[in-house]
Amino acid sequence: MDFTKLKSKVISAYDYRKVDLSRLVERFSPDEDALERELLLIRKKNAVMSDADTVAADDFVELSCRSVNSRYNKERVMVRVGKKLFGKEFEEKLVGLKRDEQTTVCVGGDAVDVHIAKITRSTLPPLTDENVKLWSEGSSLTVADLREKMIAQQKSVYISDTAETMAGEVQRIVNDSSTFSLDDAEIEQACDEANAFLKDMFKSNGLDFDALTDEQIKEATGMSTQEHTAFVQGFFLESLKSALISMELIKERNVVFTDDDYEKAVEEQSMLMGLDENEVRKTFTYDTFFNQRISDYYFEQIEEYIKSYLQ
Amino acid sequence: MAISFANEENYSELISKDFVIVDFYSTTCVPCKMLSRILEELTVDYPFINIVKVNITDHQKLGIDNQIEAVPTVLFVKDGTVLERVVGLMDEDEIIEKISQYYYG
Repeated sequence: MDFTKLKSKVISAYDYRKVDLSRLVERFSPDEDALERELLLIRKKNAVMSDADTVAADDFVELSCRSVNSRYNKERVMVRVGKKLFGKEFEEKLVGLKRDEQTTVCVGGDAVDVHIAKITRSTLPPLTDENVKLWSEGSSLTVADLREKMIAQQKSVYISDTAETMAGEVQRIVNDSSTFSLDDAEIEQACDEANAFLKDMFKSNGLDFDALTDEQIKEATGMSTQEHTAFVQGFFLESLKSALISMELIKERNVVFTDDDYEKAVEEQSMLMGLDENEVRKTFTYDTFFNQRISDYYFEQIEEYIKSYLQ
Repeated sequence: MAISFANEENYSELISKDFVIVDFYSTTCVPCKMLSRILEELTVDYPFINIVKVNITDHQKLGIDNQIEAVPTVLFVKDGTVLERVVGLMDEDEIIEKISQYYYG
């Protein structure tokens, strides 16, 4: 649908900045488990590696093995003992073997000749201010600073993800609180586009929407044919309403999309699609870009509103 | 070797020997970031596993040459031969299963 030529109109637009976000989104609180995982990863990355004489769980062992079982017929393979990637039973039998030892172990009834070439032990360093300074390449970060920095990163990701996830919900609330005069032909067009989208969606999964029974559609979508069609059509009608509000905002704020904006968008599409920019311009015309900006502008404004609330 | 970043010049060489996990990603894709994180953690626990990352935003030709239609796409490669291709986000257990299957297989 070409949003620039709509006959439908907004009678009264509800201001998205009046939507009570406290009922929709939660304020950020640090994820302590994720923080601990992150700190453990930093310690693991800075683990001290040393040679060992006897294999213990978690050691890195370089070994060669011979067996009628082809899995255990390898030259100079690395094993992280106890991680069960090579084989649980085999790895358990490595524990206690010495460097340079040649022995035969039994795995699943097969004899496996093993030669231990090298044992490397990884020791996790403690999380101290001194170590943190060392790991952060000359900066004067302390453990507390590092935690603070990581929490700030978590917060930034949380805010950006929440804004993206909840902007649609705010749009729906705004649409429900606004009044529109929708053109019948445009409603029909939105429904036709929704139906075409629905069929394409099923087709991309190898299904013919028109040939499916109500039961098959329910199995695929959890909704009856009628419910699912209404759901998709509703989504398209919401998009039409959002585009109308977006147009109002663009006019009200004198927002202008320039040729430079278009060129930047072409460049982005070119990178995303892996196509030459001239190829992109054939399908991604200025009108397509403008239409897309109408949809996106309003969404982006709501995202900013949510972000500023969560800061 | 752990994690290497590929470009048009070094890609063939990076995947030519041993077992390699190739991660085709783009900078804006959220599941790609999640997968990157999982791979980063795996390289710490299994530094002997080679991971090659290909940013298809910067290296479009590699994406086209390898028929990458969506990101993330992970290729499990041994001695230059693609053994399996997985499109979409994989969790840690799934990747570990593939390592067990192909690195030791």
